[in-house]
Amino acid sequence: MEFTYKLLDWKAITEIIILWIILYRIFLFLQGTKAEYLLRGLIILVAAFFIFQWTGFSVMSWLFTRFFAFFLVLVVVIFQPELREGLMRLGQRHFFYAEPKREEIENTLKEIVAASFSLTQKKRGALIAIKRKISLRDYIESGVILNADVSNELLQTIFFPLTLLHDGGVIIEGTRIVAAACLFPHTTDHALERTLGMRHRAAIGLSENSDAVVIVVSEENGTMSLAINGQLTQNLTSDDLLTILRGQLGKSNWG
Amino acid sequence: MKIFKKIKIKEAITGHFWLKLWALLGAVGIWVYISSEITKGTKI
Repeated sequence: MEFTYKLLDWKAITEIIILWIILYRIFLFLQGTKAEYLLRGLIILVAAFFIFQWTGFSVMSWLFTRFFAFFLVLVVVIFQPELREGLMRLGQRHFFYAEPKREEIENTLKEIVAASFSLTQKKRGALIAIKRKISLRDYIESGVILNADVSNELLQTIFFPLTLLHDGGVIIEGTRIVAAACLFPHTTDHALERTLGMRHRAAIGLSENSDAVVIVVSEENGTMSLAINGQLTQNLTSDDLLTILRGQLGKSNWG
Repeated sequence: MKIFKKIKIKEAITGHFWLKLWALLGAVGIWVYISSEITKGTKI
C-alpha cells in the first residue's frame, strides 16, 4: 500500500512521464534501423535477467549479473553509429522535433514535382527517393550529406549532368534533402522489361528494400515514373505525380 | 476549433501506439526497479 502511495506521488508520476518520453524518442529514433533488432535482443536479455532474479535462479542470475557489465560495453560499441547520430541530432535541433506541418509538406511536394517536371523537359535523368517510415540510413551513408531544404533549384542543380553529385540518387527526409549521389540497390526481378535502364532498376530496387517512394526521370525519353513497393508506374504527368505523392506521403507517413 | 483539438488528441494517442505503450511499460519498469533499489539502500 505504501508503495502504491509512493507510485501515485506527483514526483513519481513526473519521473515516469520523463522516462516515458525519453524511451519513446529512443524507440522512434531506432525504428526501421538495424539497431532496432539489437534493441529487441537487449530487451529480451534484460527481461530474462529480472525473471531469473525474482524467481531465485541463483546460477543464471549470477551469470547475467557478471555478463551485464560486459554487455553494456558491447552495446556502446554496437550502437556507436546510432549514438553518434543521436547526439548530433540532439545538438542540432530541439529534441522534441516537431513533425512537418501540412503546409510544409505540401510546399515540399510541389518543389519536388516542379523540379521533376523541369528535368523531364530538359531530358535530364534523376532519381529522387522520399523516405517514409523505414530508415534509409545505409543508403545515405553511401552518398554525400547535404542536409539542405528541398527546393526546385537545388534538385535541378544536383542533377545537372556536369556536377559531381548528379550520379546516384537523392534522399529526402521530411522537408530536407539529406544526401545526394547515393547508391541504391538494383532490383533482381528478371521479369522486368529490357528497355528499363539502370536508373529505373535502382528505383524499383530501393522501393523493394524499403517503403520509400522513388521518383525517376528518364534521360532517354524525358518521362517521369514512380516506384512504390517494387511496382513502377510510368509516364506520369505533374498532376498525376502530385496526386500520388499526396496520397502516399500523408502527414502520418512523412519522414 | 474543438473538433480540430479532438483530432490532434486522437492522433497523439493512436500515432505510434505500440511504441508508446512499450515505452510506457519500460518507463514504469525502470522506475519501479530503481525506486526499489534506492529504498533497499543499494548503491547504484
